Parts: sequence; C-alpha cells; structure tokens
Amino acid sequence: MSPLTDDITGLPPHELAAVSEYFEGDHEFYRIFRASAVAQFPADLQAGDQAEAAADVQALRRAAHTLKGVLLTLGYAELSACAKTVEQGVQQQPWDEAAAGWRELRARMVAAFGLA
Amino acid sequence: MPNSDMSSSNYYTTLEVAKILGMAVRSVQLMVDRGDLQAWKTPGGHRRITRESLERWIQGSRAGVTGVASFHGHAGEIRGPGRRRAVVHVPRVLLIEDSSHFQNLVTMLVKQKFPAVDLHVANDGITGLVSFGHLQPDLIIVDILLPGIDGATMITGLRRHALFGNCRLIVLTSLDEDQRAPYAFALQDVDVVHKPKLVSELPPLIEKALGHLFAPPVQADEFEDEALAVDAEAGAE
Repeated sequence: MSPLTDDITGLPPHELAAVSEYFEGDHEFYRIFRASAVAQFPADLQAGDQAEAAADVQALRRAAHTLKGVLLTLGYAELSACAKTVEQGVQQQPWDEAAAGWRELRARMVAAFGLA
Repeated sequence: MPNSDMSSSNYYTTLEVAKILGMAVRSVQLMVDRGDLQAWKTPGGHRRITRESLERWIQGSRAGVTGVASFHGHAGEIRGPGRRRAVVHVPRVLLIEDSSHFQNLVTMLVKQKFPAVDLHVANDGITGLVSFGHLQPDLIIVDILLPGIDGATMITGLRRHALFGNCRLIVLTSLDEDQRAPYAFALQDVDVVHKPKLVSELPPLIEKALGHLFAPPVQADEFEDEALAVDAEAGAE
C-alpha cells in the first residue's frame, strides 16, 4: 500500500486491507461501521468484565465470540485471534488462564481503539 | 367499450396497474391480452383496465392462484384523492442476532442495498421465535450462536414449523470452518455467511432469496410510450 493511498484514506494499512477484503473497497461504509463498533466496545468490555467477575463461562465465551467476529471484520486479525483463544479457552483451560486471556484482550483493545 | 360507470375511478391505465402489481408494463399488457384482466381501449388505442378485474386478480393472487404478488404490508397510493389505495407486498426480513455490531452492519447493508425491505431485529432466539410467528417474514437471517436458545436447534425447529412455508433462511456465523462441526445438522442445504465476509456475501443471498418479490424494472421504452400516452390523454381531458 503506498503512503499516498494511506494519506488519502487516513486509514492504517491493516484497516485498508479490511476495506479491500471485507468491504469491497468502500472506505466510507467501513468508517461508519468502525465508528459504531468503537462506540459499542465499552459495553462489550463491560459485559466481559462482568462475566469474568462472576466466573460465568458462557457469558465470557459469548463476549469473546462477539469480539472475535467484529475485530476480524475491522481488520484486527491479531486481536481477533486473541479473542478466539479466550472463546475456546473458557471451555478448555482452567478458569484462571481464561480470565487472564480476557484481561489481555481487554488491555489490547483499549490500547488499539483508544478506549477509556 | 363498457356501458357501466365511465368515471376514471373505475379504470386504471396499464402503467398504473404495472406499478400496483410491481410488474413490467408489457406483462400487464399480456395479462389483458390473455383475459386475466378486463380492459377496453380508448380511441387512441390505449388500454383502460377495470378496477373490478384488477381486484379480482389480486384476490386470486392472495389465494396463491398466480403467486406473482401478495397484498399486505406497506400501502402505496398511486392516484389522487378519490381513488382506491393500492397496497403492494413489501419483502419482510427478520434478523435474529445478539451482537449489536452485526445488527448494525446488516441494518446498514439492507438500508443501502435493499431500501424497500422491511427489516425487523430480534436480539435472541426466544424473541426471534415469537417475532417469526408474529411477522411471518419472507426471509430470516439468523446467527448460529444465540443466547437463550441454541441457534442450530432453533433453525431445525423453524424449518419444521408449519408457518415456515416459503420463508427463506440465511445463517450468519463468526465460527470458523473448524468450529462448525457441531452445527452441521442445522447448516445442511442452508446458505451460510461467515460474518467478516458479510458485506460481500450477504447482499447476493438476499437478492437470491427475495428477488422474486422485488418489482422488475419497467422497460424504458415501455415506460416512455405509456407515460407519453398518459400525458397526452391527461392533456386532452
């Protein structure tokens, strides 16, 4: 991807790749969806936090599952893979490990999207 | 030439009937020629279709005789005051999806690509089942993993439901291929969209499922001819 293209769209390369791969090149449509997703993320993180605090396996799995899909759609493949690890881990790993996985995902999302 | 009431409220032009039925003007002309609709011709050779025969045809369509159009949903008025209100079928879609993200994405897509579709959203499987009975949608778009009721079980139940009839089904999932095995029984012979591919893959599937309900475009020359005829006659009145 050329720097010029990046300047025009204002999107980082991984988001540009998502626009191309998942949004048929429609930057504006991507931007609108991204904005709605970022606005929703605090509620998603809160749902995950509550599930972790309650040691609710199904609720934490759902929270991670939801994030896995939307993060991949937005072009955040590494974060999506992290969410998938949590999704699968809650059923396959000791709870402490799954909870730690959730906290890592949470911290990385806060950093990536500038969440409070 | 009929000898009953000649007021314009008892007759439609071919173009008006085409709009009411969501058909091409030429299709309506053929229906008249076949005798499906009763009509007479003006001195200029333009068809005037009786309201009575159109209503009779609509009733037949509702009973499934023709299957081209059913008449429930939004109302669309095609004439000024004093004319009957013509009602055409609006494709109805029920989205059963718990993720706000993908509710938003599907809603954005449908609004952009299928503005005529009447979209309803249910947040979970139980609400989805209730909404299904209430709305009797033409298409259900359902997430495979739902809170409250397992999506795969719900899909199996829906397909056995007496009301399911001609309703079409599209499944959405964030599950990768390697995670879908437990749901294979529900996904057999069903269109499945992996959520990241939703923007490119869902619209063609909606088109495939509902295309028969969308009004075909009126051929430009047919529209022009008929519009000119309508204009000419309107000018003569």
